[in-house]
Amino acid sequence: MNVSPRSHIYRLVVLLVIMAAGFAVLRSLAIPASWDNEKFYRVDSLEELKLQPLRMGGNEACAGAGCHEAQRVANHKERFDTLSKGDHSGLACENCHGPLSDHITDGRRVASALINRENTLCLGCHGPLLSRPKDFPQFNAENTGHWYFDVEITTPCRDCHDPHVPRHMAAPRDTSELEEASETAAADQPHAVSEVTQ
Amino acid sequence: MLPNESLVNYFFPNEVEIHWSLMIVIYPYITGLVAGAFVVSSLYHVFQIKAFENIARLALVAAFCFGLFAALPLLFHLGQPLRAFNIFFTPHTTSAMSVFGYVYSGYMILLMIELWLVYREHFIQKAQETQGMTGLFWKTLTLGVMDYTPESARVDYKLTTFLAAIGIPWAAFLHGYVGFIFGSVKANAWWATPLQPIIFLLSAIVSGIAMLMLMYAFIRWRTRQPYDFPMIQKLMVFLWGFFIIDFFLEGLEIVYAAYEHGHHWSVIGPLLSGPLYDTFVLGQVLLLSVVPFLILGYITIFNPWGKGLLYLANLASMLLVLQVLFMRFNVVVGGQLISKSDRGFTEFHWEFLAREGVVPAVIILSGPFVVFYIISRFIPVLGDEPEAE
Amino acid sequence: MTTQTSNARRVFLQRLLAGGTAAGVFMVYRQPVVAALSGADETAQATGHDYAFVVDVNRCIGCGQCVRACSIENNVPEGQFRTWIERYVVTPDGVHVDSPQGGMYGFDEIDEELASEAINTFFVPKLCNHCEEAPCIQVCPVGATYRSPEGFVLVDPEHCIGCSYCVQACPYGVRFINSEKRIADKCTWCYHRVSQGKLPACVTVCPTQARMFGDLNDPDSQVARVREEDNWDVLKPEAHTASMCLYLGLPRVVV
Repeated sequence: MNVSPRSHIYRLVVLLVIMAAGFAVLRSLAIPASWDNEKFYRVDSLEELKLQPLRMGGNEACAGAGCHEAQRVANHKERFDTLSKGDHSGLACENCHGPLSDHITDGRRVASALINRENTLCLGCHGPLLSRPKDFPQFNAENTGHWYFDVEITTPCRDCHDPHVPRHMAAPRDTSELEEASETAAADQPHAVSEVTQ
Repeated sequence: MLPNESLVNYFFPNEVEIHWSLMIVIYPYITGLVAGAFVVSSLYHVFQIKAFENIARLALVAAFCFGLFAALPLLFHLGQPLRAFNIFFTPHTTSAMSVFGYVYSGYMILLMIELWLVYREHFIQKAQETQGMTGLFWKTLTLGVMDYTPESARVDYKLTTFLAAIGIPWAAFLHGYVGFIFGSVKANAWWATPLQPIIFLLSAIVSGIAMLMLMYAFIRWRTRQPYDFPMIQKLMVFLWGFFIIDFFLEGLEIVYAAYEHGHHWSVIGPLLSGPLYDTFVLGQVLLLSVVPFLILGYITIFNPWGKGLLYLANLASMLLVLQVLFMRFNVVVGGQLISKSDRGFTEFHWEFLAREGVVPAVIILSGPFVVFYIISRFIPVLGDEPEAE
Repeated sequence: MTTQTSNARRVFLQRLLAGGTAAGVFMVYRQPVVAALSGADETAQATGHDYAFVVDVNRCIGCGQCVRACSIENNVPEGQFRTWIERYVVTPDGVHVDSPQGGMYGFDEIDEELASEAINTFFVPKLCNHCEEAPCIQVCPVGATYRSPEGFVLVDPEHCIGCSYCVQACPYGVRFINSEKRIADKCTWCYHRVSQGKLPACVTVCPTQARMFGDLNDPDSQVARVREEDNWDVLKPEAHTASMCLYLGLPRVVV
C-alpha cells in the first residue's frame, strides 16, 4: 500500500485545524458583549462603576430642610444658616461630623452625627506647623486674646469659639446652655427622615 | 548615599510593597532557558555545527521541559489567576505583555511538533513492539501512521530544518519581548533602555548553554557513559563568546548612564552603591562574571582536556547559570527598589512559604528537571542510549 | 490505496482545512465585524465634558482630611492610598520629604534642627493625574484600564487580572494592587460621585480649596480659568503623559 510520505503531516495539520477552530469558538464566546474594540475596554464597566455607593453627602445633603424639622435647638437648618455667615462657611460639615452614610442609611437615621469636642479636632487644621501657609490662622498662644486670657494649646478651644462661627470672642462665653441643648438632641433611636437629599 | 539631594529616605506611600517579586524573577529565567536551549539545538539543525549533534536532541527536550513550566510563575503571581485567559480573549496589542498568550502557546506547539518529528521513528518502533494500553499510548503518538519510510524521513528532515529556522526568531521573540516589557517602562530608570531586549536574549543564550552543559555532564556521570570532549570544548567556546557580548552590553548600559550623568544616573548610581551593591557588584559582576570569564578564556585558549576540561566547564557553567539568575533578580527587583519620588529606595522582603516565596520558586525551578527525567525514561535523549525499555 | 482514493482523500483534507480556517476566522472576527456593520457606537455617549483637577500648593495645610475622606468614600484598604499628602522641607543641604501614613492623620512638627535650616517648607497633595497619554493604559495587557470619554482613567474591576504592569508603568506611583480585591486600584476622581453631579470626596472636604475639580468645557469653572491663565505646572513633565492634574505654585523640588 502506497501511503503518501506526507500523510502524517496531513493528519497533524487536521489536528491543528480542529484545535484552532475550537479555540476560535471559545474565544468568540468569551469576549464580553459590550467590548469596544477601538478604545479597547468593556463599556458596561462604566455603568457598573457608577453604582458604587456614596459615603459622603456633601453640604447639600446637610442643608436639606427635611432633617430635624422638630423644635430642636441643634437642627441642621439653623446650624447651616449660622455657618454660612462665619469664617468656616466654606467647610464641609462632614469634615467634623463624619460621613453622611454613618448617620443616614437608606433614608433612615441610624446614628447621631459625630460630635467631637476635643481640641485635637480644631488643631488638626489650626495647630501650628511650619509647613502651613503663613496666611492661614494657626494657634498662637502669644496673640492678644490668647495671651490675655492665659490660653494654652490645651485649653478647650470651645470655651471661647463656636465651631460654626469661630471668630474670636472678647471673653469666654457661657457654654453650659449649648451643652444642655446638645444632650436633649442626642436621642439615639433610628427614625425615618422625611427627605434626605442625595 | 541617597539620590537627588535627599536628606532622608523617602518613597511614595504605595511603594511600601514591591509588586514583581520572585515569580517575575524566575519567569524570564525559565523562558530564557527555553530560548537558550533552543538556540543550541538550532546551532546543529540550522547552522550545521556538527560538533553539537550529540547535544541537539537533549537541547530540544530540555527546551520543551522548561517551556512547560514557563507559565506557572505567572499564574502564581497574578492577582486574579482565574482570569488569566483574558490575555487570549482581549489582548491589548499596545502592551508588550499581551503577546504572551499567543507567542508562548504557539511556540510550545512548534516545539511539540519538532519533537514529534524528531522522535517519530522511535514512536513507530515502540508502537509496533508493544500491546494493550502502552501500545495505544505509542500508537496515539504516531497519529496512526505506522510506516517510517525514507521519503517520509526526508519530509521530516525538511520540516524540522524549517521549524528550527523559524523557531529561532520565535524563541528570540518569546524571550526578547520580556526585555521589551522592562526596557519600555520610562517610569523606571534602571529598566528603561533600548538595550534591554538584547541583554535579556543574550543572557538567555548564556543560561541555556550553561544549563545544557550541566545537564549533559550530570546525565553522562549518572549513566557512566563517556563524555564527548570535543563537543564540550566547542560548547564552552560558544559560551565564552556569547557571554562576552552579554557582559559587554550589560556594562554598556551602566557606562552610558554614568557618563551622561543625567536623571538615570541620579538614581542608578545610589542604587548600585547602596541597596544593590551586594547582589550586583559583589555577586553578579565580581564573583559570577569575572571568574567564569577567566575560566572560559582559559578553556578556549589553552585547550585543556579530560577531567580538567570537565571540572572547569562545570564550574564555569554553574557560575553562569547563577549569574543569569542574579541578573534577573537585580533587574526585576533592583528596578523596583528605586522610588518614583526620586528620593529614596524601598525594601525587598524575602518570603518563604508565601505565593511568591522562595519555596514555590524552588519547586517551580525544579519541575522541568523532574519532567525531563520522566521523559528520558520513555525516549532516548542522548543519541547513544542503550535501549533500556 | 488507488490514485483515485488518495486524490479523494486529498481533496477532502483540503476542503476540511479551508472550511475549518474559514470557520475559525469567522468566529474570531464575528464580534467586531457585527459591531462595524451595525454602525453601533458602543462607546459611551460623549457627554461633552472634559474634566480636570487643580491642586493649589499654596493653600494646602496638610490636615489630611482629603486622605481620610477618600479612604472612607472608596473603602481603601489600610496602608494603601488613592491620594496622599507629602511634606517638603528645603534646606541648603538638600530636601527632606515625608508622608507619615500618607498624611492621613496630619503631621507632627518637624524637629528643631531641621526647622532651623529650612528655607522653604510646604505640603503637596498627590493623586492620579488621569493622563491623556497614560502609560498605564498603554501597558495593560488585557484592556482592563482605559480612559472614559469624559477623561476619567478607570479600572474595570471584572476584567483586571492583577498583573501589576500598570503599577510599574505609572511615573507617579499612584497605582497599587488592592490587597482585598487583588486587582489594580487608584484614584478615580470619584467617578461614582461626579456622574451624580457631586464633587470628588477629597475636593468636598478640603477646608482651604487647595483641591479643585471641574469641566474644562465649562468656561465658568475654576479649572477652565486656571488652565487659561496658563500659570500651572504638571508633575514630571519630561514623562510627556499629558497629565490632567494642574498644579498651581508647584515648587521646583517636587517630583
